[in-house]
Amino acid sequence: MSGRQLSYAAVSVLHAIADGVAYGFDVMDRTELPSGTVYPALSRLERDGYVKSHWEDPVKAHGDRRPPRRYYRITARGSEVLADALERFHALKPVRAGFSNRPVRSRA
Amino acid sequence: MWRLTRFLIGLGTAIVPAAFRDDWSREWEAELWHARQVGAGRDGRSSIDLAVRSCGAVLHALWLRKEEWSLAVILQDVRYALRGLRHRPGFTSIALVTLALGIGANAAVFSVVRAVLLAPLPYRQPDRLVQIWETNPPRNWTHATVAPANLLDWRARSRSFEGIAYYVGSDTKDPDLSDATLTGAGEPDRVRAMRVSANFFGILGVESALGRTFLAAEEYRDRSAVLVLSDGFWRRRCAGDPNIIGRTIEIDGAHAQVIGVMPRNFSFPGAAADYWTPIDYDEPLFRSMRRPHWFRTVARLAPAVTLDQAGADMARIAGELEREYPDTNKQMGVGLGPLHEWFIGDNRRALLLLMGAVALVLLIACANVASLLLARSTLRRRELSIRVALGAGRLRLLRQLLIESLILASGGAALGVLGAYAAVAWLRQAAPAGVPRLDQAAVDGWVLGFTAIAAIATALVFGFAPAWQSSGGVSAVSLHDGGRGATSGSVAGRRVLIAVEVALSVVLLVGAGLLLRSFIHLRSVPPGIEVTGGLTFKISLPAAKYEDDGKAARFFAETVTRLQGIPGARAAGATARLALEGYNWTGDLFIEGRPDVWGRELRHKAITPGYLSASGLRLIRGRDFTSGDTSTSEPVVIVNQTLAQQYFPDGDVIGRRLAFSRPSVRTTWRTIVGVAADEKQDGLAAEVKPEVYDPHTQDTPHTMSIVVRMTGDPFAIVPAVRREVAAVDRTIALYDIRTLEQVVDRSLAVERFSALILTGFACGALLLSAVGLYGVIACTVTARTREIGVRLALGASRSLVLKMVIWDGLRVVLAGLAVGLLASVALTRVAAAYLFETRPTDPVVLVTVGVVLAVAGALASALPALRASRVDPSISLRAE
Repeated sequence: MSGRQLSYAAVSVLHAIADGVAYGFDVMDRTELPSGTVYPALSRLERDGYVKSHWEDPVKAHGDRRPPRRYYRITARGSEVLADALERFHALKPVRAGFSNRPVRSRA
Repeated sequence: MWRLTRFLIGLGTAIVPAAFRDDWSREWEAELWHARQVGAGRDGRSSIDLAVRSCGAVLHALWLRKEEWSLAVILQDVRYALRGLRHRPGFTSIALVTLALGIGANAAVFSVVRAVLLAPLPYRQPDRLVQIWETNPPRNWTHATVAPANLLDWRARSRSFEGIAYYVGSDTKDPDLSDATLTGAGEPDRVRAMRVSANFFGILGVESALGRTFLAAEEYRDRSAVLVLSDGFWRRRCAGDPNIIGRTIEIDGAHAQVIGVMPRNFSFPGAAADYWTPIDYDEPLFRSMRRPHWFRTVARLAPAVTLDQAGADMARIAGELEREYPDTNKQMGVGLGPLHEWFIGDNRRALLLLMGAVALVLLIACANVASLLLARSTLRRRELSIRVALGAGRLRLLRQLLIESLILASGGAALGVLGAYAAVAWLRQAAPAGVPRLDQAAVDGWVLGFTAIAAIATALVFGFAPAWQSSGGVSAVSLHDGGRGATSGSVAGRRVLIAVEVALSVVLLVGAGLLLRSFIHLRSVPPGIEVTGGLTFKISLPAAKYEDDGKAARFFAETVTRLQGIPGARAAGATARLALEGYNWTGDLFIEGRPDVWGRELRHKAITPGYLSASGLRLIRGRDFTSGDTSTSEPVVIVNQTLAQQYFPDGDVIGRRLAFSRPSVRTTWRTIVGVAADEKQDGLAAEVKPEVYDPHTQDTPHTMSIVVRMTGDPFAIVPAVRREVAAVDRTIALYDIRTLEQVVDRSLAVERFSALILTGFACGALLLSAVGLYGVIACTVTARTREIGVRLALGASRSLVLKMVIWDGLRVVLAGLAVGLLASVALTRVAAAYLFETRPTDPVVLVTVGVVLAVAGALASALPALRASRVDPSISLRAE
């Protein structure tokens, strides 16, 4: 599976999205990675089919007098890849504290 | 600081590819808005933080830009292009076949150019090898063969060479192979030997695959007879026996020991030798011969010696020899040049012309496919508009279209390479003899590399302009016109392309026409001999068995007499050289009682009684040789008509006496007993030189061509001929069995081949141009259906519409024709050297080409014109 080639940063981003973090800037906050890393990682994950992006309903957004935001969700394939990647990273010591040991929830 | 953020977002917008731009910019704007509006209160995000985050926007845009050129996206384009091509099988197959023709022809010709011109000779440091020859301006010798004694003096005195090797050569640049008969077990078989000096292989820097090559002690006669076999001969006749070294083989009735076998890839240009053997000359005699010239040389330059230095060294030696031997070496000079150049010779120009012609074919193919693509692009406006609407930028569209072109070119190249394999096999068979190393032409890595480059260049040439045009004028607005209608720009572009195609075709057609006309002129030149009903074959007598000249002469006399007795044979005779095959040897000419005459380079040919009538050569005066002309009777000769006219303009020929060396008390005078009509000697185009026929009993060759004249099919007599020859000596093999017509044909092989090839290219070009023109006119008619409908509705007659459309096509053809004819007049001058009695501006050719193209143009336009004239005005108007 190509998930084995995911970089550490991409796994972090994917993990954050799996955790329910939906927007680009929020992913940056959660992962503490810079925007120049997070956004290309998001685009690459979407290209490879691990996450899927959607636009908020514009009617609702305009009703709230704000621009609609783009949000990301993990796909089933993304969940598999993430599980694989986490296993791999956990096998390494020391494990980075930022990783949660909770089982990954798929939202796709 | 907010300004910096805006600037960074603006920069990112400029960078991000059009396809992603909308989403990218909405996402960043929204995130920044939220961060600013919502986040500011909650997290206290500063404007510095926002500016830092915006740096990521630029990096993100750059990543997306890079992503557009990633392999995955390009593969996506490739898949898309393949799908598009599959959906238009008509367009795709025409484009593929056109490109396959163009690229395949180029690959085939390049494989020949590579083998003949570019590939280095397969020897050690081939660029250090040179050929040395003799010159003599008064005798018009520019590249003469070398006399043995001079050769040995060069060896002894030169300081510029590692060594000088030699081999038996000829006036043509090819080595002169000796014919021999493989005797012993089984049927006698003709084999061909190249006679070489002992250091021949050493100078070339090649070693034998088995055994060894010659030792210096084996160079001359009367040492042990030794042979080095070619790989082909060893495999064919010795069944590849690994223990062959040391065995003996019976050749010409004598035993010779095999000392070596050369590697499979060894060959010497122009000489398909079965084996190599030392020169077979008595050493003291060899060292004394300064008058006869029959050797060619291969020398290896000493380290650090340049060609110029070697030339100066050789000029010094030639000067010394001229002073020491004024009798034989007067004005005898030396020339030298690289061995590779020596073999390429005139072939370079011919091959480059061929490469030029085939490149024109490729250009025409490119123009055709470009025109097809332009036609297609007008039909694809809708599809391209959708892609623009979906955010594809110009660069992306351009790439997509060029990928299509590359796929077409690669497909064409793949098909073309397959065709090239077949074409090269055919070329190797069909090409005339005398092109060195043509047999080594093959579709190898070099040719594949060339083809790949040609395919990429081709894709750019035919793909770029249509892609540029298609990607440029399209906007999302084009969606509205339904993708109909050709734009005037693309039609004009296509017309220009077709005119260019026509012009290129004209150049090829004129070139082919000139060669064809020259060939027809040449073919109509009478060869002197009567070709119909003539059969000829060669016999080479084994030296061991026929060492005695008298015995050889008796063999030929008896054979000829027996052949004359075969039922159906009207005449038979033998000659040392057939018409159109050159001459045996040359000498000086002195005439008794005419001290003012000193003819040089007089040609000699030994014949038997009956040869003149067997060849259909009229005896103008005097008599033929008879059985009474023997080695002990009065020396006699028959002269050709040119000699009689040149030296005896008063017509008083018979009974006059000639000598072939400066008159002295020991001179042998020969009486002229007859004058024969001229036969062509060096080819139909060459003028006949003065020539003397000697009776074969007084100048006995050991190889002769027998000519039998008969009624009916000449080949029918072959079994009877074999029987009669076997009755004289059953160990003798006949070879080169041909009709006299084939002899004439072989002399025209080069001219026929060039005319054939160029005509093939020209016909291909004509066909491509006609197809291209048809495509453009058909497309124009489709685009003009409404206009034509209006014209018809307003009362225009159908014939007027027909004329209008045909004229539309003809205009393009005439424009191309005019340019093409002008270009031809300028370009065909380079071909003048290949033309016989045909001017490069031959009006018949130019007019014929003009008419052929105009007719082809009219035909190509006629079909769409007919369709146009049948347009139903009501339907075409309603369609709007």
